[in-house]
Amino acid sequence: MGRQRRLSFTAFSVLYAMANGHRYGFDIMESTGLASGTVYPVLSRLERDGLARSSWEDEQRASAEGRPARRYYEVSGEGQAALRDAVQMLSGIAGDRLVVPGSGGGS
Amino acid sequence: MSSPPFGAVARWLVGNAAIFVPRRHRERWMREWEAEIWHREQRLARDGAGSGRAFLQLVGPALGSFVHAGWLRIQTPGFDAARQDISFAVRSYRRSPGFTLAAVLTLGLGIAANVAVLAVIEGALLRPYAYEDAEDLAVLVNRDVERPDLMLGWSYPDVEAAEQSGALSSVMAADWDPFNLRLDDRTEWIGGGLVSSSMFETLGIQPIRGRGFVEGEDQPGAAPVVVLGERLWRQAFGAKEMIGETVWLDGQGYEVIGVAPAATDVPEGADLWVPLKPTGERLTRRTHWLQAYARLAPETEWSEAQATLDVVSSRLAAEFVDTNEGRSFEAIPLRDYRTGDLRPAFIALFSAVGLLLLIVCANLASLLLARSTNRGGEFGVRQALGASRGRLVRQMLTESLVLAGMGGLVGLAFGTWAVGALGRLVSEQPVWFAPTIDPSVVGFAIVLTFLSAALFGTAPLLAGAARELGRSVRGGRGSRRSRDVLVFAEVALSTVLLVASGLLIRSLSQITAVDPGFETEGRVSGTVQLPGARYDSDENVLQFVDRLIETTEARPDVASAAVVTRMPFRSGTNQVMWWEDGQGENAFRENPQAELNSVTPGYFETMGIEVRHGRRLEVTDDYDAEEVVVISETFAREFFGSRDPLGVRISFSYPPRFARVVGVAEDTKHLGLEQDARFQIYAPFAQRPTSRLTIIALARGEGGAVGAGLRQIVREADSDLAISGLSMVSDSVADSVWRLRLLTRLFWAFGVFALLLAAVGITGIVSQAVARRTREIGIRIALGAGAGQILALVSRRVGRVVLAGLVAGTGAAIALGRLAEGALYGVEPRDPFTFAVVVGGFALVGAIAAWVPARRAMSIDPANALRAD
Repeated sequence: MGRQRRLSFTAFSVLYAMANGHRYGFDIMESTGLASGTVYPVLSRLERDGLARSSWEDEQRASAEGRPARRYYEVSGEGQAALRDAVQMLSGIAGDRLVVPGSGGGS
Repeated sequence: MSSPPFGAVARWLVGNAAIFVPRRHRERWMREWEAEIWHREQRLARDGAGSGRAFLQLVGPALGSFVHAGWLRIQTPGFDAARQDISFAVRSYRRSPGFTLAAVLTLGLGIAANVAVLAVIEGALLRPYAYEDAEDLAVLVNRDVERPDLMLGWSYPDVEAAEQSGALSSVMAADWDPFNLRLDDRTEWIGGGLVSSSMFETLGIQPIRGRGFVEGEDQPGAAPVVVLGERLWRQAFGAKEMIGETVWLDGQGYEVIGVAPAATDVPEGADLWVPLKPTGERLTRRTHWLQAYARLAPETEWSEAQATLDVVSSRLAAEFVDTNEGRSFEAIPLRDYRTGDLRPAFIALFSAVGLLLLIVCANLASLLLARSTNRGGEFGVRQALGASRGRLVRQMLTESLVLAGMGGLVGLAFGTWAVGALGRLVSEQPVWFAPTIDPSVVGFAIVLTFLSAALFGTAPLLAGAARELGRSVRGGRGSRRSRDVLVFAEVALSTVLLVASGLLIRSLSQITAVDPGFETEGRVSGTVQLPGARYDSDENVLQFVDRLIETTEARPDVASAAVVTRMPFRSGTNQVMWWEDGQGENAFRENPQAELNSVTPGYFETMGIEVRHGRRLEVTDDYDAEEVVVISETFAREFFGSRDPLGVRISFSYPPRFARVVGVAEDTKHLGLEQDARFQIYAPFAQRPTSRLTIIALARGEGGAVGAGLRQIVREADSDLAISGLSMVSDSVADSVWRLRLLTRLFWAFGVFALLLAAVGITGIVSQAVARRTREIGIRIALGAGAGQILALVSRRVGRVVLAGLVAGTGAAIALGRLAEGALYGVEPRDPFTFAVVVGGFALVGAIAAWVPARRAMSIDPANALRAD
C-alpha cells in the first residue's frame, strides 16, 4: 500500500487491544475505554488500510449455540509490523516495558 | 424490578443509523451491530446490572453507530453527489435568509426545550450514582402501618436489629446535624452527618485522602475524629494536607482522618461526618431520630431482603408493643427514594416538550410545503435538464437534513444555556437536581435532529409534492390539504399545552393566595445551633436566648424579636403523640399527632399570629412555673368540639409531663401552603428549650440591614457560633412552591411558543389562499363584493381548520386531564374557566393571524388582478 505506518493514538489503542486478544467491537471499546463512535470508524479504517482484517464466526456453530454470529477482527501482518514500530517508538520514550503480545519480536 | 428495554432502544437506534450506511455494506453492518448488542444484553442480564449501567452500555454505543454509519457513508464514491446536494441546499437557504432564520430558530427552540428537560431527567433518573453498585444501596424506611405516607425516624436498637437480619451486608445509621466550624477568621455553619462507623462500607466509597471510620470509633469514649467532604476540604481549607490535623467543631477538637469524595451526599446536606455515639435516651427504642441506609448482601434480591425485614419488624412489634407495634420496615432503593415522586412531573414535562417539537415540525413541514410548491419552476427546469425524480427527492431530503442540522446545533447551544438558566431558577437545589449536557444528552439532540428532519422533510413528499414536482403548479390540491392537516395538528397540540399552562397558572395563583396564618413581610430569620458541650444545661441555653432577644430588640430597626424551635417553612416538623389527662396513656395511639413547637413569648406578636381564645404565652411561663401550652384552632375544634379546651392538661412526652392549655391560636401552615390545617401545640421555650433554634426579627420600615445585624449579634454573643439560612420569611414561603412555579413558567413559555407557531401556520394558509385566488378575488371585487364577503371567502377554510383543531385539542386536554391532577391545586383538571379562556384566546389570535393576510385580499385592485397572469 506504500502507506506510512504512522498510527494515530486511537488506532494504536485499538490495534493494541486486538493484539491483546480483544476481537469484537464492543470488547475493544471496553478494553480501550473509547466510545463506539470512535472505535468502529477506526476498525473500518484499519481494515481499509490493510492493518486489520475481519471475519465472521462460524454461522452454524453460533446458531447451534442459540446466539447470533459475531464479526471478529484480527491484526494483519502489516498491522503487526505497524504495531511493532509504534511500540518501538514508544519504548524509546517510555523505556523498554512495552511488549507486543504474541509477536515474539517486541523490544 | 424489570429493567427498561434498552436493548430494544439500542436496536431501534442502530436500525435508524443503518439508513446512512451504503447499501452494499448495510446488511453485514446491521448483523455485526445486532450481534454485539445481543451479546452485551446477555452479559448485562447475567451480571444482573442495573438500568443505569444497561443504558450506558447499550444505548450509548448504539448512538455511536450513527457516527460509524456516517463515516462509512463519507467513504463511498456516491458521497460526492451528496456533497453537491448539501452545498446546493446551503446556497438555496442563503438566498432566503428570512425563511431560514425562522426555521432554524423555531427548530432550535424546540430541540433546546427537549435537551434541557432531558438533561434534568438524565441527571435525576439515569446518571449513575458515585457509589459502587449503587443499585444495591437502599434507604430503610420506617412506616406507620396506619398512615403509610408517614415516614418515621429509626431508633438506634431498631437499626441494629435490621443490621443483624442477614439479608443486608451492611447498615448505616445517620443523622443530619449542623456544626459550628471555627476557621481562622470566622465561624461557619456546616451541615454534618452523625454516622455509624460502617458508612464507607455501606455507601461503597473510598476516601480520597486518609481513611474512613473503623469499627469502635462510634463507641462512647472513642477519640473524636472527623471525615471532611471534598467540597468543604477545598473551600474552607484550600485542599491542603489535613490528615492528622485538628479542626474545631462546636468548640471541640476533632482529628481529621480522611476526606470523602465530593459526590458523597448521605445524609443529604452533609459536608463532614463524625461517628454517631448515642447515649442515654437516644439508645432506647422510644427515640426515633435516625435515618438508615443499607447495602444488599451479595447474591440476594431486594425482595428477599424485604421479606427478612418484614420478619424483623413483626418480631419487634410483638416483643416491644409499646414502641414497635404498627411499624413496618421497608427497603427502598436510593434512587427510587429520591426521585420516585418526581416521575409524574417529569412525564408531564417530557410530554410537553415532545408536543412542542411535534408542533415545530408540523410548522416547518407546512413552510417547506409552501416552499416546495413555490419552487415548481426550478424543479421543472432541473428535470428538463435531465435530473431524475429520485434525484430531486434526494435533494429535498438533503435540504431537510441540512436545515435540521443547523436547528440541532442551535438547539444544543440554546439547550446548554437553558440548563444553566434552570440551575439559577431553582433556588434551593435538591440533591437530585444536577442537569448537565453530557454525551448522552448530546446524542439525544442528534437523534432528535434526525427525527425532526424525518418528520418535516418527508411531509412534503407524502403530501404528493413529489408527484407534482416539475409541474409548474402553485399549491395543488394535495399540498393544500396537507397544510390544513398540519395547521389542524398545530392548533390541537397547542391547545393542549395552553390548557395545561392555564391550569398551572390558576393553581399557582390559588396556592400563593393561601394565607399561611402568619405575616411574612418584613420578618427576617436565621438559625443557630448551640454546641452541647458548652450549652450543657437548659439554664445556659435560656441565658443565651434571653441575651439574643434582648440585643436584637435593642436595635433601632427592629420592632420585636422571638425565638422558635421549628421555623415554619424552614426547619421541618416535630410530630408528637399526646394524650389528655384522664384519657389514659394508650390514647396517644388514637389521637392524631400534633406539631410541637417551642416559642418565646414574643413569637405570636412577631409573626402576627392571633391568639383568639384564652391568653398568649407570657414571660412568667418560665422554667419554674406550671407548664402551659397554646393549641391551634383546628386542634381545639376537632378534638374538643364544644368543650372548652382551656384548663385541660395534655402530655406529649414520656414519662408523662402534663401541661395546661391556656390559649387557642389561629391555624398556621408549617410545612407548605398546600398543607391542610393540623393539630399544633406551642410550648414556652423556657419550659422546653432546644439547642437548635431560629431567631426571627420583625423589622421597622425597610429593615434591609436587619439580616446583617442578626449575623453580627450572634457573632458578638458567642464567637464560636454561626448563623445559617438568613432570609426573609416571605422568601421562604415563596420558595416553598418553587416546583409548581418552575413548572408553570416552563409550560407557559412552551404554550406561548406553540401558540405563535400555530398563528404562523394560520397566516400561511390564508396567504396561500389569497395568492392562489387573487384573480378570482379581483373579479368578485369588480362585481361589487364587499369586504366582508372577501374576508369570508379567504378565511372560511382556515376557520374550519382552526375550529376543528380547537375541538380536538379540547377533547385531548380533557382526556389527559387526569394526568395533571397531581400537579394542580385548588382547580379541577376540567376547569371550565381555563378552557374558555384558552379557546377564546386562541380564536382571537387565530382571527388576527388570518386577518393580516386577508386584509391584503380586500385591498386587491381588480384592474391589476385581472391583468396579472
